[in-house]
Amino acid sequence: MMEKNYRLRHLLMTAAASVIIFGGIFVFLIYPNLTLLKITLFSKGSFDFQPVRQILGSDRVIKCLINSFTLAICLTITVNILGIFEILVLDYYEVKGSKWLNIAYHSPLICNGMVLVMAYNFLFGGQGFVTANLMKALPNINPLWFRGFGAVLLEMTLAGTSNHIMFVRDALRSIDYQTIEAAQNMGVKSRRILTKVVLPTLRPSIFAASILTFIVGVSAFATPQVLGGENFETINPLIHSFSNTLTTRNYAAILAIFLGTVTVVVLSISNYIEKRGNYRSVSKSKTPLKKQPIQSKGVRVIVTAAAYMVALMQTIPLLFIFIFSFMPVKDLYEGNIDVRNMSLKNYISVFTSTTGVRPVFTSIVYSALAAVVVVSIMLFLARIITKKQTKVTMCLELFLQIPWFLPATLIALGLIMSFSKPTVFTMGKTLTGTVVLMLLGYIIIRTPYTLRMIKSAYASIDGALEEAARNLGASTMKTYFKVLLPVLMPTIFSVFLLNFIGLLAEYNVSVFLFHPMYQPLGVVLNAATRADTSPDTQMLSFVYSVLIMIVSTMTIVFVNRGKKR
Amino acid sequence: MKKWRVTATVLAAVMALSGCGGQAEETKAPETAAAGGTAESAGTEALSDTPTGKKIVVVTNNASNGRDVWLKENAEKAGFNIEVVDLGGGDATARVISEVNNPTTNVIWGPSEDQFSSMVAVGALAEFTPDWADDVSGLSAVNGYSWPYEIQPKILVANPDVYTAETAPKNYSDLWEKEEFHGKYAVPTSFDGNTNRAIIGGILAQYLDENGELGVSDEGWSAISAYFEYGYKTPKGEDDFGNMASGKVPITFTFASGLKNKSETFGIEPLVIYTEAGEPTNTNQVAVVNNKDAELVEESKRFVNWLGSAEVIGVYAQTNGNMLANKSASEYMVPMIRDIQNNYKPQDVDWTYVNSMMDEWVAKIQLEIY
Repeated sequence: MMEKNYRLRHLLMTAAASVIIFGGIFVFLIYPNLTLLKITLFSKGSFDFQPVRQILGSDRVIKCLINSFTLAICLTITVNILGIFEILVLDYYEVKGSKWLNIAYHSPLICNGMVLVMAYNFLFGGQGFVTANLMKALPNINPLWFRGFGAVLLEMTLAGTSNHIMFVRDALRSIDYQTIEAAQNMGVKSRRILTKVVLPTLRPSIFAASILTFIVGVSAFATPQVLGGENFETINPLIHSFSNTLTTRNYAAILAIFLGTVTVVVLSISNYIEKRGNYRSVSKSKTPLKKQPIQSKGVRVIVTAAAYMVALMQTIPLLFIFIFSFMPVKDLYEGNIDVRNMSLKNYISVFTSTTGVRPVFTSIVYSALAAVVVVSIMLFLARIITKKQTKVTMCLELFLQIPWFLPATLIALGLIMSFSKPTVFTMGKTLTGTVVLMLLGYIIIRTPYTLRMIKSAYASIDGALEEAARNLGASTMKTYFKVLLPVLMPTIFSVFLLNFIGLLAEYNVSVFLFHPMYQPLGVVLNAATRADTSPDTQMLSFVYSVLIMIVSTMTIVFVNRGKKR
Repeated sequence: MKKWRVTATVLAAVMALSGCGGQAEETKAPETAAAGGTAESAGTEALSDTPTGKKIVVVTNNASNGRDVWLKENAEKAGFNIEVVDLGGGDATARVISEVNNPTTNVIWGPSEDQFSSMVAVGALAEFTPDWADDVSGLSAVNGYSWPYEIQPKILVANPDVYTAETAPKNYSDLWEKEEFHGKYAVPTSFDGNTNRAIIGGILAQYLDENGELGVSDEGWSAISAYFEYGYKTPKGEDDFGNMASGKVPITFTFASGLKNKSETFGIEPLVIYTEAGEPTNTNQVAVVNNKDAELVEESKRFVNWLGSAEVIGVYAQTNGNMLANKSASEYMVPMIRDIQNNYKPQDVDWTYVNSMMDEWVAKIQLEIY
C-alpha cells in the first residue's frame, strides 16, 4: 500500500514537474520567437509573397548565400585542421614550451568578434600598419592584399578554434592510454595509431565542433564586413540590416528561415552520420594520456616551428589591440604607431564617463547568471532528448535551434512583444522594461549552442558506467548526480566558459532589452563605434576590449582550476 | 528523412500559429496618439520651475566625447538627477516604441523628426509644449510632442587641396554624370542611419513619379544605381572623412554637427559644397516619454525646458558645433556652422512622403542596386 502510494505520488510529482518545466521552456524560450515570426511574416494578415520573389530575384542575395555556404564549408575544414593540430601539439606530442603554446592557443577565447577583426584590419588592411611598412619595402604591392575570401577564411580560422581548445581537447585528454599502449605493443606505427586509434575516439567531439564551426561560417558577420571587401559579401550583414528597419523585417525573417532550413538539413545529415558510428573508449579504468615523442627530427622541427607560428598569429592581433588602446585615432587610420603620441586619454575617457566601469560588472553578472541557468536547463533537456527520441523531443530540439538563425534583433523584439503585458505565465507581471528580460534574451541566444555541446557530452558517456551504477542499486537520481554529472563536469565548465565569454560583449539582443540603470558592455562598446559619434570615440572600443580580455583571462584561469578539481 | 518531415512540421506550425491568430496585436498601433496624451497637456502652464531631483533616464545619441559628463554635471547643478544612456537614434526609437506599455526611459534627446513621428504614432510620448517653443517655430511640423533643438543639414564636403568651389561638383548628379568625379566620392554603406537615408532620399526625391516603381521614375532608379556604381564604398575600418582629408577619396558627406569634431580630428578645413538643389535637411528633436508616474513626467518636462533653453543648449553648441534651432541662442554657434547656416539652402522635399517610402527604397537598393 505504502509502496503504491509512493509510486503514485512520485508519478504525479514527475508529471507536475514536467508540465512546469516544458511549459516554462515553451513560454520563455520558444513562444517569443514564434510570435515574432508570425508578426513579421503575416503583418498584413496573410503571407506576403512579394519579398520572397524580390529576394529570389536578387543577384546580390544569391551571391551572398553562395559565399556564406562556401565559407562555412571551407571554414569547417580549416578550423578542424588547425584545431586538431593545436590540441595534438598541446597534449599528444612532446613539443618544447607547450606551456606557452597553451596560453597562446587560448587567445580566440580571450578576444573575438568585431574588435579582433578591426585589429586585423588596422594591421593588414589598406591603410594598416603592416601594409604601410610592406609598401615601403615592396612599393608594387597591392594595398588591398589582405582582402576577400582568403583574408576572411584566415581570420575566422585563427579565431575559430575555441571549441577545439575546450571540447575536443577534453576528449583527447580522456583517451585511455592503454589503448594506445596496446597498439604500440602490437607494433603499429605511430602515424597509424593517430589515425586509427586516437582520432576515431575524438569523433563525437570533432563532430560537434564541426557543426558549430559550420554555423559560425554560415552566419559570419563582422569578418566579411571588414575584410571581405566588395567581392566577398555574405548574407548575415544583409539580414541584420533588414531586421533593423520596421518595414523590411519580413525580408530578414524570410532570409533567416531560408538559411535555417538549409542548415537544419545539413545538421540532420550530420546527426544521421553521428548516430551511425559510435566510437567510444571501452575501458573502465582509464590510464592518463602520456605525451608521445616525435621520432623524426625533421618532422619535430617543422611541427615545433608551425606550432609557434600559429601561436604568434593568434596572439599578435591581441597585443595590438592593447597598443591601439593608447593611440589617438588619427595615428590608427594612418597606420602610424608612434610611442610619443600614446597616452592614457582613451582610458581616462572611459573611466570618467557617466557609466564608468559599471558596464563591466553588469555584464559579468548577467553573463554568469545566464551561463549557469542555460547550462542547468540544457543538462536536463539534453538528457531527455538523448534518452527518449520521440517526435515530441525531436520537435522540441528543432524549436530550440531557432535562435541560431533568427537575427538577434528579432529575438529581442519577440521577447518585448510577448511580455509587454501582464500574462498568466509571468504571474501577472510585465517583463518588458524590467531587469529580467535581458537575462531571458541571453539564455535564449545561448540555448542552441549549449544544447548541442551537452548533447554530445551525453553521447560520449560510457553507457556501461550508468548500467553498473544501476546494477549496484543506485536510484536514477543518484546515478545521475553521483556518476554521470562528475564525468560531465569538464564539459559543463567549458560550456559555461564559452557562454560567459560569448555574452560579455553581446550587443544585438542587449540593446533592446537592457535596463537603463544597468548598461551592459556590448551597448557602451557599440556606442563608441556608431556612425554618428566622433572618430576619436571609436578608440574607446579598444579600451573596453582590453577590459573584456582581462575578465575573460581571469575566467579561463578560474574555470581551468575548477576543471582540474 | 524523418528530420525532413519534422522540419516541415515546424514550418507548418509556424504558419498555423499565425492562421488562428486573426485578431493578433499589431506591431504598429494606429493613431492612438490623441488617447496617449491624457490630461498632462493641461498641466503645462502650471508646471513649477524647481526640479524635485527625482531620478530621470535621459536617452540620447549626444553622449559621446564627454558630452554625457557635461550633461550630467550641468543638470546636477540645475537640480536634476539624471542617468544618461547613450543609444543611437534608431535604437532609441525602437526602444521607446517597444516599451510603450512599460517605459524605462523618460527623456529622448537627439533622434530625427521622422523617428519622433513614429514614436508619436504609437502614443509613446507625453503631450508637451516647452517654454522655448516659440524660439524654434517654423523649423518643422508641430506635432505637440517633440520639439526641434538642432537643425541638421547633410552637407557635401571636399578636400580643399583637390577641389575649389569652381571645380567641385555643383550637384549630386554631377558625381555620377561627370567622369572626373567617378571613384572620387564616398557613398553610404549602411542604410539605417539618418544621414545616409537623407542622402538617398535627397537624390531619389528629385525623380518622384507617381507611375514609377515605388513612386520613383526609371530615370531616378538609374541615377541612384549610377551614384552607387561610381562611388567609393568606404569599408569598415576606413573613415570616409579621413579619406577625404588624405585625398584618397576627396569628396564625402556629413551631418552638420559632425563637421567641427571631424575636422579637428583629421586636421583639415574642408571645402563645403552648397548644391544647387539644396541640402537634405531635418531637425533633431527632444521629447518626454509618457509615463503613469505623473511626477516623473513633470520632472522630465522641467528637464527639457532647461535643456532646450538658449543658455544651456547654446553652451552645448559652442563646444560641439551644432546648428541650433533656438533662434535666441544663435550667437553661441561656432563661426564655421554659422557660416553654413547663412549659406545653405534646405532642399525642398516632402520629407514626410520620402520618409514613408524610405524603407522600401532601401530594400530595393539593398537587393537590386547596391
